[in-house]
Amino acid sequence: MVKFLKLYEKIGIFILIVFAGIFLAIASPNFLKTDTILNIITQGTYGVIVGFGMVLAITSGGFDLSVDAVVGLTSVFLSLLIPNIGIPSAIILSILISCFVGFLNGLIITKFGVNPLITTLSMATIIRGASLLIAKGRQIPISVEKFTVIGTGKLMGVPNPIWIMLVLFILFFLLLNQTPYGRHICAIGSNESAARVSGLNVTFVKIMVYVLVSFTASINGVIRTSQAMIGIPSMAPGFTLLVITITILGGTSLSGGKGNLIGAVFAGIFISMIYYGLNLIGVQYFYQLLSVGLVLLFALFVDGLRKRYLEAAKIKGIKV
Amino acid sequence: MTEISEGNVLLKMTGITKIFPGVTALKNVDFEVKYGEVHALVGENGAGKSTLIKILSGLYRPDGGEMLFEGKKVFFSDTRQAQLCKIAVIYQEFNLIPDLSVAENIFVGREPKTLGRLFINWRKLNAEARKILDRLDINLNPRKFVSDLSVAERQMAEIAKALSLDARLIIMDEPTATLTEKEVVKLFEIINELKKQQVSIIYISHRLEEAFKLSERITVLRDGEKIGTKNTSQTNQDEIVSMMVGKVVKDYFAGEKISEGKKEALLEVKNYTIANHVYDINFKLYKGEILGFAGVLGSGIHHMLRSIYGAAPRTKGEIFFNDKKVLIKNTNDAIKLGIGFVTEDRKGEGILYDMSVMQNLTIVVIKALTFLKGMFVKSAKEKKVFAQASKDLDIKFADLNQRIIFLSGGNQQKVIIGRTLISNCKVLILLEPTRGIDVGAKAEIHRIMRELANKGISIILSSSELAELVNLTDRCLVLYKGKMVAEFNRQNMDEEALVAAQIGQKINQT
Amino acid sequence: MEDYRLRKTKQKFGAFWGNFGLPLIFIIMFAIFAISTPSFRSTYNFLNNLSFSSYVGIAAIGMTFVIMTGNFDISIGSMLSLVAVLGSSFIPKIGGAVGIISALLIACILGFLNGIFVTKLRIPAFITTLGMLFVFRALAFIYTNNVPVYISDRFWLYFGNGKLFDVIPFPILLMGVCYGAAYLLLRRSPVGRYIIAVGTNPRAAALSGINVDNIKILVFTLLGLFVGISAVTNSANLGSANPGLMGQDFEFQVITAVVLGGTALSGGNGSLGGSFIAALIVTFLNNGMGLMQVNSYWQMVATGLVMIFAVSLNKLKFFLLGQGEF
Repeated sequence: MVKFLKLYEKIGIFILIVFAGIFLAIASPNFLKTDTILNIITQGTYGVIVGFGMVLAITSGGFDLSVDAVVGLTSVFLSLLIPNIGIPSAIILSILISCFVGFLNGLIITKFGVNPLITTLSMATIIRGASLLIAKGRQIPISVEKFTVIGTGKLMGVPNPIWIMLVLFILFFLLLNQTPYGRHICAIGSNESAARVSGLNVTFVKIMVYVLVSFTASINGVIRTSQAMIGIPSMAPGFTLLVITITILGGTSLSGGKGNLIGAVFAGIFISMIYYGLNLIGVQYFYQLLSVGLVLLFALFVDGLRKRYLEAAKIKGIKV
Repeated sequence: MTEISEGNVLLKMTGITKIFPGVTALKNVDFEVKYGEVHALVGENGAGKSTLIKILSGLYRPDGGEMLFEGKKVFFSDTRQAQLCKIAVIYQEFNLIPDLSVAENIFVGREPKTLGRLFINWRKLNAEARKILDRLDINLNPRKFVSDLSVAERQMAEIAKALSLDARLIIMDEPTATLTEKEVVKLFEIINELKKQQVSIIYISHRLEEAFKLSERITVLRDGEKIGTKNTSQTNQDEIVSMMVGKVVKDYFAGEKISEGKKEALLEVKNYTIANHVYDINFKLYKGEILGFAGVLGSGIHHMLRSIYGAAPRTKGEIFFNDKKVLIKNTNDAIKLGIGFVTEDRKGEGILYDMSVMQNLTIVVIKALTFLKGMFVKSAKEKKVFAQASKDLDIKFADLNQRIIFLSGGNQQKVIIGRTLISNCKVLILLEPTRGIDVGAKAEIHRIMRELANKGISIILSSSELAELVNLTDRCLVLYKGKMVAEFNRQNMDEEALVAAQIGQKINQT
Repeated sequence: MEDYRLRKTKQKFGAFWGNFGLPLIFIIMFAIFAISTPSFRSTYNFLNNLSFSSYVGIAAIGMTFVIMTGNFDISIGSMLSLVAVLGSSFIPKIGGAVGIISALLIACILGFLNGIFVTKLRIPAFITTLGMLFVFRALAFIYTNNVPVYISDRFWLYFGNGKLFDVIPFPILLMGVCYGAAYLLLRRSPVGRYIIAVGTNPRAAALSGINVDNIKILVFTLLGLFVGISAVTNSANLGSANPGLMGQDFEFQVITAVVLGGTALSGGNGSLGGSFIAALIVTFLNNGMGLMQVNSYWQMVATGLVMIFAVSLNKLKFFLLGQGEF
C-alpha cells in the first residue's frame, strides 16, 4: 500500500489523463482528431502558464491570489498603450507594470511580514479597482489587427499559445532545477530557517518569486487580450482557483520545497479535457467552475487520506 | 601531541560569565581547545554546557570574559560571525534542507556555476561533494536527497558541510544520542579522520565511555562552574563521575517511604511498544509511591509517558488501572480515569498564555463548575476552586485575572500542577517539573510532590537531574534506547549508579 | 536603563491603542464624513448604515472565532449567496419561518463541511475554503440558473426591513442579540474557554483534555450559522436573493473587520467588541465614500489598503506590547 501511494504521488495525474482520454474517445468521435487535441491543449495553456509562476510561489512556501487581477491589469494597459506606442513596446511596458505589482506583493510579504494570502488577496482587490479606474469601467477595443497574431496565430500548424507555453516551460524548468536561484527557492520552502542560517538572501529570493508569478500572469493577459482584441479590466474571474488547482493537482506540495512543473502541464491538460467533456454534454460555464472546485477538493481529499494512512503506518512500525 | 604552548591553542576562553534573569548560567569559566584536539565537555543537565556552546556559536553574548581564536581576540554578536571564524556547530536538530540533495546542502549559496555563471555545474558540485565525503571516508551518495537519509547520514552530511566551510573547530552536541552502535563506530572513524586533518572538536556527550574513547582532554562543568580539566589518559570514569555529581545539596523533603507491606498496584503497563521509540516496557506503579524514570536523550521515556496519557499513539501494549484493563484513546480518557500530566515543555504546551492565571488553572474542570446544565460558568464557584488550589500550592500572583505569562516560571509550573490536581487525579505524570525554575521554587515543588505522595497520589517523575531522582523517588527505572535496562530501589540507588545505567553501562544489581 | 523607559512608553502607547484606537478611528472617520457630506449626518442614514453593518457585523462574530483558532475562511461570500438562494426558494413550499430555519441549517452544514476538511483531513483552511468558495458559488448559479429568487414572504422580509417601534431596524436588534449571545458563549461558557484555549495554544489545550478537532469543527459550524443569519437579513433587505451579486467581496470585508478589530491572524484570544466596531468602520467607510460620490473603483482600492493597513497595525500593536517581532 505504501508503495502504491508513493507511485500514485508520482504518476497519479497521468492515470487521470488516460482515464479521461479513454472516456472522451468513447463518448465523442471527434476527440481523437489533431485539431481537437490541439484545441484542448491550447485551452489548457492559460492555466498552465500562470501555473508555472504559482509552482514557484508554492514551492517557496508562499501563495498568490492576485493573478486574475494582474491578468485584467495587463489587458487594460495593452488596450490603452497599443494605439499609442506600438505593439512591442506596449507588451513590454504592460508586463513590466505587472511585474511591479509582484514586486509590491513580495515587498509587503517579506518586509512587513504580512501573511502572503492576506497580502495577495488585498492586492487583488486593489489591482482590480485600479484596473477599473484606469479603464473608467469600460471595455476598450483594440483595432490594431496585427496584435491578434500572438493569441490566434499558428507556427508549423501549432497554435502560438502552445509555443509560448513550451518556451516558458523550458525557461522555468531550467530556472527551478538548474540554477542556484531555483534551488534556493526550494531551500526556502523546505526549511526557511536553515536556508537563512546557510546565508541565503531570503528576502531577495521571495520578492523575485512574486515578480515571476505576476510575470506569468501578465503573459497570460497578453494572450487573452490578443484573442479577444479588447481590454477587459475584470478579464479572468475565477482564474486564480484554476491556477491553484492545476498547481496542486500537478503534484506541487502545499508545504513547500517541492515544485512539479511537468505535473502542472498535465494537470492543465486534464482540466481542459474535463471542460471539453462538459461542453459535449452542453452544460454552462457554472458547471466548469463547479468541476474545478470539485477537482481541487477531490485532490485535497485524496492527499489528506494518503497522509493519514502514512501516519498510521508509521505508528505500526512500517517503514515509510 | 606536542607540548602545551601558546602556539598550538586554537581557542582560548577566559573568565566567561553569562547571567540570565535570576540564574547565573556560567561563572568565570576558562576553557581552551588545541589544534587537532578532541576536547570532551561533560556535566549534568543544567551544568552550563549548552550555554557555553551557544556563546561560542554566537547565539548568546557573554556578560563577561574574553575569547581568543587562533590567537586573535574575537567577539561574536551573531551566528554569522562565528561561521566566518570557521566555527561550526552540529546541532541535535539539523540545519539541513530536506528537499535538497547532500551535495546541494554542502554547497548551498556557494554552488559552482557554469554557462556564463547562470546554471549550477552539477558535475562539479557532485564531484566536489564527493571529494569532501571521501576525505572523511564517508560512503554517501551526494545526489541523495536529505529527506531520504537516516539520522546518522544526516549527521555525516552536516559534518561534511562544516568541513567544506573549512571549519577549524567543530562542536558536536550529543552526536551519538540517536545513532545505532554501528553508526557510532563510523562516526568515531570520521572524528579520528578530522583529528588527523588538524580540525579541533568539542565533543559533548552524556556517554562517558565515548569521551574516554575519543578525547585528549575532558572538562567537567557543574552548576555553571568549571570543576576541572583532566588529561583523558590520566583519569578514569569514576573520577569524572564524582566531579560531575559533586556534593548533594540537601534541599529535598525526602519524607517517609511507603512500607513494603501494603503495596497496591494502581497502574500497570504491559508490553508497551511505540515503533522507533520504546519496546516492550512493563512496569507497575504503586499507590502513594514516587516512581522515577531516568534516561538520556533517545531513551524514549517522554514518548512513552505521553502515549500512556493518550497524547501520542502507541503500537501495542496494555494499561491496567486498578487491575481493570483500560483503553486510553485521548487525553480526556486519561483525565477521566484520574491521570494527570505535566509537560516538560512548559512554554510550548503547558501554559495558555493569552488566558488568566485562574482560567489556566480551571481549564480542565471548567465543565463541572457550571449552572444551567453546563451552559454557563459559575463564577463564584470557579473563584472558590482557584482560591483553594492557589492556597494549597502557594501560588503567588497579583490578581487572578492577570495573564499567566507575567508569572515566574515556578508559579507557572505550580498552576499547571494545580490544573491536574483539581481534576481529582490519582496518578500524576511529571516530566522535568523543575527545569528552568529557580532554586526556591524547585524545593517547593519537591515538597509538594512528597506531600501528594503521602496523601496517596502516585507520581511518575521523569527527570534528567539525577539528584532529584535519588532524593525523591521510591523506585527508579532506567531506559536506554527504548529498552528498560535497570531498576533501582531506595537501597541501591545513587547518582553514580544512575549515571552508569542511563548511558548503557552494564551494572551488577544487588 | 533607558531601554526600560522606552519600553514602558511603547507599552503604554500599545495598551492605549489596544483600548481606544478603534473607537478613535471610528469617531474621526465619522466626523470627516459628517462635516464633508450633509446627507451622512441624518439619523435616518445613521440607522440605515448601522443596519447595513449587521451583515458584516454578524458574520464577523463567527469569523472572530475561526481566526482565534488560527484558521480563516474565505468561502463565506459564496456561502452567503448559496444559503440565501436555497432558503428563499423553499419559501413557497414551507413558508418563511421554516424557510429561515432551513436556511440556517444549511449554513451550519456548509460550515461543518469546511471544518471536517480542515481538521480530519488536515488540509490548510485557506485552500479548503478557496475550493469551497467556487463550489458554493457555482452551486448557487446552477440551482437558480442565474435567475434571482424574489422574496415576497413578509416574515422573511421583516428580517431585513422590519422596524421595532417603527424606529429601530430589526437587523440592528438582531446584531445586538447575536453579539450578546456570542459574548455569553465566549466569556461565560466552558465552550468559550475551550475556544480561547485552542486558539492560544492548541498543544496545551490538547493536554488539558480538550478535543481540539471538535472545537475547530464547532467554530466553523458557528461561522456557518452566523453567515446564514447574515444571508437572511441581507436577502430580506434586498427583497431577492441574487446568486451572482450577493456576497461579492463579503469574505474580504468580514476578514478585514476581524483583523482590524484586533484579532491576530496567528490565532489566540480575540476581541468581539473590536470586530463589532471594525465592522461599523468598514461599512460606514463604504457608505460614506458612496455618499461623497467617490468612484466605486476607488472604494475597492481603499478596502484593499485598509486590509493591509489593519494587518500591519496588529503587528505593530503586538510589537509595542513586546509580544512579538515586528
